[in-house]
Amino acid sequence: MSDSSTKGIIKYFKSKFAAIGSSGNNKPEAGCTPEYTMLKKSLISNMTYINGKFDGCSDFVSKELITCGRKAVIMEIDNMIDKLQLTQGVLAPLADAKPPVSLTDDDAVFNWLRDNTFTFVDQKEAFSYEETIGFLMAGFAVLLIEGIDKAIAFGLQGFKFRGIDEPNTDKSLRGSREGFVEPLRLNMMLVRRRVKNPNLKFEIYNLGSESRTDVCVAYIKGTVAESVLNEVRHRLRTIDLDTLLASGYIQAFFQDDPFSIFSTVGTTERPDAFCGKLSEGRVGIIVDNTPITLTMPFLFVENFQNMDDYAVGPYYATFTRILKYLSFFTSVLIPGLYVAIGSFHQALLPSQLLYALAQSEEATPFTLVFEALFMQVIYEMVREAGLRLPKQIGFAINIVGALIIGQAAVSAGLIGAPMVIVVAITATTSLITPTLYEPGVVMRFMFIVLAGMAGILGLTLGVAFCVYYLCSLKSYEVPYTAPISPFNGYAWRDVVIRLPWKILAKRKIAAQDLPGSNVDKTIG
Amino acid sequence: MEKKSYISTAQIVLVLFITRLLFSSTYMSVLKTGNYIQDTLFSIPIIFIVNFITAIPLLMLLKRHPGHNPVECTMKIAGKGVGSIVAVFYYLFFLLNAAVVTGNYENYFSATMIPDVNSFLVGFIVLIVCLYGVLKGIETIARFGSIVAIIYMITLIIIFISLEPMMDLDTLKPVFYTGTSYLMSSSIMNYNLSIQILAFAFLAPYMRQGGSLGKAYAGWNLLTSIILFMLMFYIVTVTGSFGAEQMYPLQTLATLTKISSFERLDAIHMVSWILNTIITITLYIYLAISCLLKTGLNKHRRVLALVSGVAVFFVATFLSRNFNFLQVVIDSGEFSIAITFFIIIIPLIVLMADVIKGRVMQDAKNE
Repeated sequence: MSDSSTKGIIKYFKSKFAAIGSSGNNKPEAGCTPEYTMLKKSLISNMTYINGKFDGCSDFVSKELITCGRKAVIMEIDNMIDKLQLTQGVLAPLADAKPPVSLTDDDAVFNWLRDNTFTFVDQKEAFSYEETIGFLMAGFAVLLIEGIDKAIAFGLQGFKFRGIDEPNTDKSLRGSREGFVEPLRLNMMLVRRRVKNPNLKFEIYNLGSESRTDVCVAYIKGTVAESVLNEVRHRLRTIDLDTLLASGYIQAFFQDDPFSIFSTVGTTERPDAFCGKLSEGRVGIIVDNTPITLTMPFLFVENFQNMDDYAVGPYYATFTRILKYLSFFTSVLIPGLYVAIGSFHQALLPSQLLYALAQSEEATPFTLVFEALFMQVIYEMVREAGLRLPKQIGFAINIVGALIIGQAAVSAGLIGAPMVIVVAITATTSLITPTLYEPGVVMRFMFIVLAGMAGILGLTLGVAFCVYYLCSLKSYEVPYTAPISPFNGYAWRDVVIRLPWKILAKRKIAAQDLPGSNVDKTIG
Repeated sequence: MEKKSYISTAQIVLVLFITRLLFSSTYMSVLKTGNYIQDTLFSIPIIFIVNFITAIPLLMLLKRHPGHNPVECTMKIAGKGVGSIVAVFYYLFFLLNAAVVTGNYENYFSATMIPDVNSFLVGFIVLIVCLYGVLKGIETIARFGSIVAIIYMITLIIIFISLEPMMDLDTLKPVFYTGTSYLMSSSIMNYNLSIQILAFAFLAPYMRQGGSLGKAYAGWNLLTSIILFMLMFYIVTVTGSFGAEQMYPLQTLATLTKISSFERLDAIHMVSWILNTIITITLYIYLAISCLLKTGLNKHRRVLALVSGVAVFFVATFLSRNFNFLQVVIDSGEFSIAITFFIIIIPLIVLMADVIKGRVMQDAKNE
C-alpha cells in the first residue's frame, strides 16, 4: 500500500471522527460566507456535479456545443433568460469564434473568448460550483468549457414580471404613479433614478438558507448615521431563516421590540417615499420578490405623512395632516367614548341628543359595550372577507355586509342606529391612516372593554397605558414619539403643520438629530 | 440596572409644573375662608418668593455636585451609611406623598364620580398603570408628562375661555377684611404642596448637559405661579364663596363650563385630571425608588417598584377612608415642619458638612 493511499485513508477517517458530535452544528452561521467547491477543468466532472444538483429540476436546461475546437455547455433556467439575446449574443458568436492560431493554451483561449467574443456589460466569472449555481438561480446563462476551471456567466435576465404600476397601498394624487415591483434590480433602478448621486449606496446580502433571497440595504453616505447603519447590518447578518418570501418575514427582526403593536420599522411601496426617507438619514431595505420595502428608524408621526402632503400647497397639506390625526384618534376613541358616555356619563350630552340616543337604545336587548364589540367584530369579518375574495365577489360581500349590519340589524331591534353610525365613522376614519390600522384595531377593542367596565375612568386609564407604551418605544435609539415628545419646535414644521417648501428646504432634520435621540451622530 | 437616561430641561419643567397643579385647589375647603376666599390669591406671589428661598440649600448642593441627587451627594460627603439613612427617609417621604395623591384620587372618584365602586379598587387600577410607567423609566415618564401637560393646558384654556363671561370681579373685594390669617394659612398650604422642589433636585441628574439648574428652577417656579394664580383667580371670581366650600373647586369650574349645547364638561377635566394623577403618582414612586437604588438595591428595581406600589395602595386606602385626616395633614403646621426638614434642613446640613469638609481638606493640603 502506497504512502499516499495510506495518508488518504487516515485523512478520511480523521474527517469522519471530526464530524462526530458536530452534526447539529452543520448549519452555517447566518450571514457567514459558505465554503466553496472549486470548478474542475473536466467538463464531464463539472456537469456531473451540476446535473446532480439539478436532478429533478425540469426547468434546468443545458446545451452542448463545440467552440474553438473544444466541448462546451451553456446552461440556463428555463424562462429566466431572454432567449433571443442568448442566441444572438452568446450562441452565434460562440459558433463563429475563431481564436488566433497562436493561442493553444486553454486559459489563453478562454481569456480571448471572454474579452473578444461577447459584448455584454453584465458578464461575470464563476470559480466554484456554488457561484455557478448562484448565477443560474439569479437568471444568468452560464458557459462551461472543457479544460477550463472557471465559468462565464451572462446577465441575460428576461423573466416576466409585473409591470411598474401605481402602488395599491399608498396612492398619490399629484405624486409619481410608479410603485416598486418584485425584481430587486428594477427596484434599485427606481431608487437610483430618483437619487442620481453616487453617495446612494446599495449593499446586497443573501438571506434564507433555502430561498437564498437577495436583500439590498440602501442608504445615502454622508447622511445616514453610522451606528444605525451598523446596527441594521448586524441585525441582517443575524437573521436565520430558511425561506424569505416577503419583506414582512424579516420586518420583526429589525424592530427593537418584536411584540410591539406599533411598528418601529416603516414600510412603503413608493420609490419616491423611499428616497425621501433615505434623504432624512434613514436606512432602507429592499427584498427581492417583494414590492414592499422597509425603512428604519420609523417614528409615530410618519404614519401621518405621505407624498401628497409635499405636492400640494401648505394650507391644504396642513388641513389634511390635522384631518389624519383627528381621524386616527376618532377611529380609536369614538366607540369607547360612546360606550362610556352612554353607559356612565349621560349628563355630558345635550338633552335632545340624549333623548334621541336613549330612545334608539331602549329597544335593544344588549348593553352598549356588547353592541360595540359585536359590531366591531362583524365589521372586521366583513372586511377580511372582502379583502380575500376576488374583486367582484368582495364588492358584493361588502354591500351585503353593510346591509346586514346597517339596515337589518337596526330594523330587527338588535342594534341601535347610533351604534351603526359610530361603527361607520370608525370604519371610514380608520382607513385614512392605513399603517395604523392594525394597532388601531387592538386599541379600539381594548378601549371599548375598558369603557364598558369603568366609563371615562377606564378609557382614560387605557389611554394613559397606551401613551406610556408609546413613550417607551424607541426606533434605533430615536424616541418613537419624537418630535411630539420630546418636543422640538423646528421639527414641528413637518408634523401636524406643513410649512411652505421655502422653509422646509432651509435645513433638513435627520432622524438622528431629533430630540431625545441617543444615536451616535457619526455620519456614515 | 437602568441605563443612564437624560431628559431635557423643558421636560423637567413641564413634569414638575403639571404635578404641582394637581391638588392645588383641593385643600381650599380646609381653609374655611367663606366669603374671603379672595385673600388666598395673594399667597401665590408669596409662595413664588418662598420657593426661591427654600430651594437655595438644595440648588447650592447640586451646583457643588453636578450630576448627583441629594442622596448621592450625602453618600459622597457623609459616607454610605448616613447616605442610606437619608435615602430611606426620602423614600418614605416620596411614598407618603404618592399615597396622599392616590388617597385623594380614590376619594375623588368614590365621592363624585362613581359612588358604587369601592375606593380601593379605583386606586388599585390606577396604581397598576403607574407602576407600568415606573418600570419604563424616567425618559418615558418625562415624555408622558410633557404630553399630559399639553392636554391639561388645553383643558384649562377651554375652561378659562368658556367661563370668562361668568367672572364677577366684585368677588375680589374686600381684601384682608379679617386680617392676614387666611393669607397665612393658604401660604402654609401652598408651601406644604411644594414637593416639586425636592422632586426637582432628584430629577436634576437626568438633565441633559448644557441645561442650567437655576434657569430650569426659575422657569418652573414662574410658570407654576402664573397658572396657579390664574386658576385661583377663576375659582374666586366664578365660584366665589361657593367655591371656598367645595372639595374640588376646579371640578366645579368644569361643571359650569359650557360650549354651545354641550354642558358639564367636567368629563373633559376628569380625563386630564386622571392623567395628571397618573403622572404625579408615577413620578413620586419613581423618585422614591431611585433613592433606595443608590443604597445598593439597583438590581431589585422591579421588586422595589412592586413593594412600593403595594405600600402606597394600603396607605392610600387608609387615607381615602379618613379624608378629613388627609386634608388636615396637608394644611397642618406639622406637615410644614416635615417639608422644611426634607427640603431645607437635610440639604443644609449636608451642604454645611461639604463646605466644612472642603475647608478641612484644603487646610490639610496647604499644611
